[in-house]
Amino acid sequence: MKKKYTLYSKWLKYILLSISLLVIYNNTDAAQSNFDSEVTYQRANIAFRNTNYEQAKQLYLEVIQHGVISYKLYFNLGNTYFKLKDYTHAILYYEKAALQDPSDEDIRYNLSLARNFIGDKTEEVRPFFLITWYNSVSEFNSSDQWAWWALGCFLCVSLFVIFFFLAGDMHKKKLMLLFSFIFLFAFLASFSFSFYRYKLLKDSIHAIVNQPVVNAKSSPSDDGTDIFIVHEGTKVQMLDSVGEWKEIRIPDGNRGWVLKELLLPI
Amino acid sequence: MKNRNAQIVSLFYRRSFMALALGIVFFLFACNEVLRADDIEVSAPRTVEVGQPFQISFSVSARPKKIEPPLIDGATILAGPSTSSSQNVQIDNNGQVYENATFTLSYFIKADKEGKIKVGSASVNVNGKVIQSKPFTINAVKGSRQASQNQQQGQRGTSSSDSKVDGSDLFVRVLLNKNSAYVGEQITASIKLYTRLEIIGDEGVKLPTFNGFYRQDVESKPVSQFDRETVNGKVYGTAVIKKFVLWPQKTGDLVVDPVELQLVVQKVIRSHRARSLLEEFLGSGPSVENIRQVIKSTPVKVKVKSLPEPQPASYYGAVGNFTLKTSVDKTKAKANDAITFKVTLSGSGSLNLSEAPKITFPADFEVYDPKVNENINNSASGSSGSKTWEYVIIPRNAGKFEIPAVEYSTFKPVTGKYSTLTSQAISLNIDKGDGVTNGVVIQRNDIKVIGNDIRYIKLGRGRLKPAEAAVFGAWYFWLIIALCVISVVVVWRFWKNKVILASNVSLLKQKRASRMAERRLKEAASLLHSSNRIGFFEAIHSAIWGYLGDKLSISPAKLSREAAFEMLQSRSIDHELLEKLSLLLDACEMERFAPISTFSSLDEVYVSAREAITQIDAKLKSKKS
Repeated sequence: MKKKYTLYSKWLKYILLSISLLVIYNNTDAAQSNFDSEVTYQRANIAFRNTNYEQAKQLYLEVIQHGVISYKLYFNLGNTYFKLKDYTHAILYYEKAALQDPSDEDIRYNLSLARNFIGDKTEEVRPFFLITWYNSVSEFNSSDQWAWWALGCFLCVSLFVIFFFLAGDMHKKKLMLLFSFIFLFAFLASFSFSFYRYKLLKDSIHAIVNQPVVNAKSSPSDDGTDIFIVHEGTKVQMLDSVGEWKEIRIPDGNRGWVLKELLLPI
Repeated sequence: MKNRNAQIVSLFYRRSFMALALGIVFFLFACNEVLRADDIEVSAPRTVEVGQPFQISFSVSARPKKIEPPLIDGATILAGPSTSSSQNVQIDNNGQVYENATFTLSYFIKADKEGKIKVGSASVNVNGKVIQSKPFTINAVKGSRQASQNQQQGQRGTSSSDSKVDGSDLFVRVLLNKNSAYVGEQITASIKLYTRLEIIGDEGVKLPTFNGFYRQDVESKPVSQFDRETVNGKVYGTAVIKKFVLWPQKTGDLVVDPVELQLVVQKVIRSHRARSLLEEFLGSGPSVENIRQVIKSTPVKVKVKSLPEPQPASYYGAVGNFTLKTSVDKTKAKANDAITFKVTLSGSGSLNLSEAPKITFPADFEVYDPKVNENINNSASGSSGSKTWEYVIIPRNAGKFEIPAVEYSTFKPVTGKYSTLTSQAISLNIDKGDGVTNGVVIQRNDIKVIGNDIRYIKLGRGRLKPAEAAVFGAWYFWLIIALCVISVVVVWRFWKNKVILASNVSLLKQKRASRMAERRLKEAASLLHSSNRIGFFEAIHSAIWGYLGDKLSISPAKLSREAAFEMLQSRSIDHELLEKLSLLLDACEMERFAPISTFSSLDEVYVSAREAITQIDAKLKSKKS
């Protein structure tokens, strides 16, 4: 029995060691570039505060080129574009920021303000109410936050299952089972929200129109009939792509084909 | 006498009644005193003969407060100024009071010599408003009939006698410039009067309704001079009374209904009617009669042809000769700036019936309904001028746009064909607007209060992370989940072991059962020595039951003789032993109520209990092993 235990502890040691090595390796690699990026980011913020918007824009874009992002970065870049009166890009970066942190109220506010200057006000087709609910609940947190919630809930599920095993009498056992089911449900919900938002982030299914007036065609060719007109700054959903063409869906449900280069994927 | 008095009295009453009634009328009149003070109407001949008296009068349809007579120069005033006024109060069935007051100032004047008589302006003050007549001049010419200067004073006053005026002496005609036209083609119409008599009064023209026509009056001066024209060998004085431009609105034979003219003409009476004493007295000479005469024109037919089919799509009702022009006030503008786009149609024809052309503006433009400006001149030769449609267009986005050429088809009646006018296309260059014009933020759809600004940037640490980094799906995400699962599994296994151990508790009890029974029997033995009979039996009882419960793992609640015996039987304990056990238990239970002596002594009970337990124990043990 004692021998067995020592074997376990040996394995545990190896695992812990490899994990810590992995973490340290990751961190040292990222730490330096993170530090540089942070410096650039702060310089950009200072440039913005000095109303030196052109410089701020350059610096923010430089940070993005480093491959690091945050909702703050996107939001500040959106603000910079707004001040430069480039509302299309302002909308683009606000949308990106909103994807990163859907719960931030400032982002929504600035986004709606930017939309007033540009873009179409289309009547949105309301999807099935459960989808709307799901979507709006998912916007309480970002993908990462939901992921942490999911982990926390799963931890609780595990704890209560353990308590269930350890509990002496039947009454306590029932209570523990109830709790574990509640947390299991919470886990499943936050897991799915996290996954949903993760998908939104990674797949970039939406785009912003980047030309004052765009005629959406009925087919992916120049001689297709014009179906509708979308204006700069309108958020569209990308569905299909054929060559240089993308099929888009505008919020009122209409579909048409536009050239890929006229869209800025979020 | 009495009768006469009564008559006087009644007369008096009647008079006072009338006075009362008159008073009421005047009261009503005063209440409703809305005097229409128009211009001063001047009636005077334009040309007079020297030495011949004539009348000039100034009349105003109101009761003036103050009158200033005109200055008359170059003539002798024979009589006057004399004033006359007339009032006419009417009350209709509805109680509405109409009043009509006329005040006339008249002179009788005689021209002394050839030349001009200057008549100054007369002014009256009506309700505090001063009205002045225009000064005018009268030509005095050498008279031809100075001798018969009294003839005019013959019979004055208009007679509505039955005396007829010969139709060939006085008639009216409606003259059209064409009797056949296309729909919408303009026709000029004139009402012409032909007379061989002297016309001294014009009491109005009654125009027909002109069914099927759209009519526009041509402004014309009042008739002052008669032209001479020979019709059927007779010389007539002619005058065009009114002119119109007519546009037929439907095809077929349209009829211009008769025009009615009411005139007062002077006719020299050559009849041998007996002259009145007065006439005899005043002198000889032909007497004249004023006759009120209504004359009617004959209906005129117009053949209206329909426009040839097919009509071009760009035909908007313009018939005539036109030119088309389009213009914008600026070709370079910023987004959201208003641009004025004008379409001007000019020429002669049915301008007022022409409608705005359809213009396909760039899809992105906001276009307001056009403002229509008409500058149409209706003259004897027809209607001409220009019509302008002014569009306000607001480009909402930057870019290069083109207002396409405007097509406007017109119908030319001369050739009987349509011709399409095409304007130049106009290209517009729209720059990006700054969104703010005149201090108001013009937005795509809503106007928002100015002063909104974006929320300020986020300060503090950037919390930057690699773009691809996500907690979901990261290795540690799965690791944590895996660790949780592992820990649960570990605990589950531990729990399972514990459950097995717990089942071992009853095993332990089984093992301890005979030892426990031994202890209880010892207890019973000590009670036996202290001759506590009841205590002894209870100890035996509990020893047997305790042993059976532990040994057979039966919970105390379920422990009964049947259950225990059944179990013992199933474990192949022979019947004899069970009988023995049964006797023992009976003895223990009965002892409390009715002691029976199945057993000779308490010692025997003790021994047999001990024997039974050991025997069962031995049997169960042997079975197990």
